[in-house]
Amino acid sequence: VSQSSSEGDVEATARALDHHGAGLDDAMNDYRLLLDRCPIGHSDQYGGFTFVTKHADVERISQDWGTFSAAQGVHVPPLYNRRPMKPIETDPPLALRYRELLLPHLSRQAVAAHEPDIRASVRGLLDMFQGDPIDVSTDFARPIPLITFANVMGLPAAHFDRYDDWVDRIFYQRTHSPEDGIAAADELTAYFEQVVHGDVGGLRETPLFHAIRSGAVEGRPLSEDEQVDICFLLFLGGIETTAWAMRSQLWYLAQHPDLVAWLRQDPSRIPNAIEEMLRYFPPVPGLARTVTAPMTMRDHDFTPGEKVVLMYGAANHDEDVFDLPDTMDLKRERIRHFAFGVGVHRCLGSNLARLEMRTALEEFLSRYPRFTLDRQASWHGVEPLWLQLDPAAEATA
Amino acid sequence: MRAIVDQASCQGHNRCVEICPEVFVIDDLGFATAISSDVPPHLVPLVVKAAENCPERAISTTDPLAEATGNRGAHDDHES
Repeated sequence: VSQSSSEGDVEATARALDHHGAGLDDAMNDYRLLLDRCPIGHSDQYGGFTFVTKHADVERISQDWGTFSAAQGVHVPPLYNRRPMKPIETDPPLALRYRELLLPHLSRQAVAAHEPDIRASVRGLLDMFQGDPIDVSTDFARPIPLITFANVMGLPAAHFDRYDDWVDRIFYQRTHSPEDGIAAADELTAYFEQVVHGDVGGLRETPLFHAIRSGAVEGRPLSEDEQVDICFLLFLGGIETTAWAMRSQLWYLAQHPDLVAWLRQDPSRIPNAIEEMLRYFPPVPGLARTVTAPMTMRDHDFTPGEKVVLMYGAANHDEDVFDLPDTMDLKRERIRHFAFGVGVHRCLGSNLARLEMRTALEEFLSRYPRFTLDRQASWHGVEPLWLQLDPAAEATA
Repeated sequence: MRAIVDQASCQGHNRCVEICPEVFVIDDLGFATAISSDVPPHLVPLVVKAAENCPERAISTTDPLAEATGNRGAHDDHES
C-alpha cells in the first residue's frame, strides 16, 4: 500500500490526519503510510498541527521536556480547562514535585491493595448482566474505571451519572462542539472545587485524596486551585481511557475465539496479552507538546510555538521497533509501547489501569468461554459494544 | 550478568517489576532498582525481557565475560 501510493495520496492522508472519532476508523493504514512516507508532517485538522509518528522521535521528544513543553496544553483540540491540569500540563521541576505527591499511591505495589475491591466490583457488574445481547461497553467497560476512581479517591457513588456525562462531553462532543466541551469542563471544575472544599457529602479521606488535600510542593501547601487541577486530571485520565482499553480488548477477543480459549487455558497469559492489545489499540492515540526552542529532526525544523502531536498509535506500529507491527501477537516478547506515554509525563495511573484491565479480563473470560460480536462496532472509543455471551455451565457454577 | 536501572531515566512504569520481580524492586515512589548481585542464570531471559520492554530504555545489563577481561561496559538492551 505504502509503496504504491502517490505523493498526492500521502499528502492528503497527512493533511486529514485526525486522532479523534471517525478519524481513527482507518488509523492502522494511515499510520503505515505516514510512518513509511511522511514520518513528521502537517495535519490541517483543528487549526493545524505537526504530527510525529516514529517511535524513536516520539520517545526523544517526550524525554526532551526542555525543548518540547507540556505547559501550554497536551490536547489538540484543547480540553478547555481554564487552568493547566496538574501535573501533566506543567514542566519539571514543578511537574516532578506534583508527581512525587501522587506516585506513592499509584505504584504497582500501592495499587495492589485495591485488587479485592476491583474484583468485587467486576463480579458485581457481571452478575447484573441481563438478557442477550449485552452492551459490554455501557454495562462493564465504562463502570469499572468509574467505580475504581471513586473508590480510590473517596468520592460518593451517587455522582456516577454526572461522571459519564462529563466524560462524554469533554472527550467526545468537544471535538465537534467546543461550547459543550467548555461548559462540561467548567462543571467538572466546579464539582472538584466543592470536593476539595469538603462541600460534597459522602467523601472519604483515602490515602490518595489525603495526599492531594494535605500535599505541599516547594515548601508550601497546595492551593485549592492546584488540588482541583490535580483532581481534574485524575478524573479525565483515569476513567475514559481505561474503559476504552477494556472495550477494545473485548471487541478484539470477541472476533478471536481461539485466543479466548488460549487465554482461558492459562490466565497468566493475560497481562502480556493486555500489553499487546494496548500497543495495538492505545486509548490515547496522541498527546501534544509545544516547541520552545528551535530544533531539527528528520529535516523538519521545529519552531517555537509549534504544536506537535506525538502519535502514540503510530509509534506503536513502527516496524523499526516491532516485528510485523500490524499483526496482533499476544505472545509478543518485545512490547515497548507508548500507550501510557513515555518520559516525565508517563501516565500516573498506568499501574492502576493495568490492574483493572487484568482483573476485568480474568473475570470476564472465566465466566464466558465464548462471546461474539452481535453487530458491527468500531474498535475505538466507548460507544456501545453489543456482544452475544455464552456462559459455561462449569464457569458459572 | 548484572542488571542496572538508570535512575535518571526510570519513570516508574513498573514493567520490569511485573516481568521479573526477583531482580527488580521498586521504592516508595515506584521507581525501580535492580539487585546488586549477579542475576541467577534462570532469570537472565526475564531480565532481558524486562530491558526490552522498558519504555524509557532505562535498563542495561553487564556482560560477565567483558567484566572478567576488564572490558566492562553497560550494554544497551538486546533490541534486534
